Amino acid sequence: MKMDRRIWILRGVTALLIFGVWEAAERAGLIDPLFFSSPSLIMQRLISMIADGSIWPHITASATVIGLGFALAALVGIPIGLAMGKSKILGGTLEPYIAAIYASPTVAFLPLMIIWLGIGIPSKVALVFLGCVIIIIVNTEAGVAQVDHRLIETARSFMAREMQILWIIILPAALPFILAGMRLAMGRALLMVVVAEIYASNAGLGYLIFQAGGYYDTAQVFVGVAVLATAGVLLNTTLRLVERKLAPWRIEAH
Amino acid sequence: MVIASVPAKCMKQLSSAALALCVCLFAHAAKAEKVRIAIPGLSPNSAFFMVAVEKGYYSEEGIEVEVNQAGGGTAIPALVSGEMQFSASTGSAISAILKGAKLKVVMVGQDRPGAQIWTSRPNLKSMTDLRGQQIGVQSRGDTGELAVLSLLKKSGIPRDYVSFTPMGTGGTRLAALRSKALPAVLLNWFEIAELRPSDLAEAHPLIDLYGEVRMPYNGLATSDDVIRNKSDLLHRFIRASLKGVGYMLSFNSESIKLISSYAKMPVEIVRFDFDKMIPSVLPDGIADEQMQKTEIGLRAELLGMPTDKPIPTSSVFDFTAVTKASKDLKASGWKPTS
Repeated sequence: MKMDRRIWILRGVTALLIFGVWEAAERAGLIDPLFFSSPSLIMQRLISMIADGSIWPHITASATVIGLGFALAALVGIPIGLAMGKSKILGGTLEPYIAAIYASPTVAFLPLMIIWLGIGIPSKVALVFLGCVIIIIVNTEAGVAQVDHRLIETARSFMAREMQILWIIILPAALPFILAGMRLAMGRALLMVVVAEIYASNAGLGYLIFQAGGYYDTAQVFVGVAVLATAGVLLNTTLRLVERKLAPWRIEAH
Repeated sequence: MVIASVPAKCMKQLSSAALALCVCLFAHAAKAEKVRIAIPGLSPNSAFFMVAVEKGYYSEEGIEVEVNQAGGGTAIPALVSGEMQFSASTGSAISAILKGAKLKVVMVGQDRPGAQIWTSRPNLKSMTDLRGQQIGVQSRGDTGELAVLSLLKKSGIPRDYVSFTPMGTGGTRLAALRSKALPAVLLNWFEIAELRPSDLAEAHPLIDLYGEVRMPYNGLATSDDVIRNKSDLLHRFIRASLKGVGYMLSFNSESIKLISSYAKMPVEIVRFDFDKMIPSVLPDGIADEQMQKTEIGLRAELLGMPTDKPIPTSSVFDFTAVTKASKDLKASGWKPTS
């Protein structure tokens, strides 16, 4: 508890220091507000956007894309990762393709997405999906690969069916890896939604950021960035809580 | 032994010549001033610049040009910080100036946007059909969007008659046109030149912004620091750029070849764009007062700035250097040669 409190205090002090120096630098004329804005201007803009409701359509649009893309990535990625981890043949066959997709600049697929799926939500969800699914597959496969084979052999010797082995042994053992993969994928989803909304969008936090950038409205750029950063922290914390709930046996080293 | 046999007078002459050559080489190397310029892309939109580079006009002025491909979003902060000296993204520069950046537009390339609005939807035949529809532009707040807003204003139509969707560079907009994903898209001349016969079966121009709108299009922007502290460099750079304009206006075919070579674009596409663009080129690089006021007014509206007090054109445009350079060239009797 003492350690937790100390960490929270240090976090608060660090944030105050960063924002304090930034604000002071802007007021002293050391930085150009056209390109850096200031914490007070950003806060003013955020408050006015919340008050007049103009921020909510953008948050809703991005949240929809992230939610759908991420959910689809988990629904597709976890079974594929489990299958690849269980089957050496399948794992060996798919691995180079997975690596190739992971290394590809997903933003390059944007024009193709627009041609195939149009300019609405589907193309954006597809881009978020592509960005997240590989991370989930790779982490799930790694989780399955590290399961103690003696447990599986023991279960088989007691005539356990493959589905029972998967559900009772493999999945719980791989769960921490799967959840870690989901946390990483969530960060990627936040990044990809911004990329997806640069073009062919009229709403969303990515659209807000790039439109504001084009109009040299730096305060609004930072409002978009701040909302995304806050979402990242909240979602990461939520997934950590889920991880603690679902995998309480996992001991975290301090 | 061989040296001893050379007459002393001859040796003296050889030494003088060698010394003079060294001085010339050193002087030339010392004189060449490095300048960084940002152009949004290698397209005929920056034709005068490419021609001036290929013809060596900048080198003649003792300027070594380093070209960076960068749009306004990157170029403008680089101009403000002094990392770059010039940018061809005059539209972005004007927006930044209105927001307080210490920059000026010092030369304007054309007096019309080289663009049209195209559609693949057969039910759309004129601007009135675009009510409530989306137009795909390169980015929000760019010159294309401003051109449409200018036309709406000229026609007495409210600004929110249409909405704009940023689509990035031509490839995405062409894809949107082909797939009918958007009702209409804005295409530049060289993008129109890339339309295939199969596209033209359904796609047709809806609005000719080039024929309908007058606005500053392309040119050069620089920082107040360069204007104040490097006025000689500015003068020489603009003089070389005006020579590029002069050459373009006098030698169309040769210019097309130079641009094609520099931009590595097919000659047919460059020719299409060039032939459309050339009537709109401003030979002296100066936009008239009315054009300046209209541009500033529209951009201020777009940026949500108060428009009750008119913004002086001198706070955005500074044609002192281009006027002087133009007079210099006339006085010297300079004529482009092929």
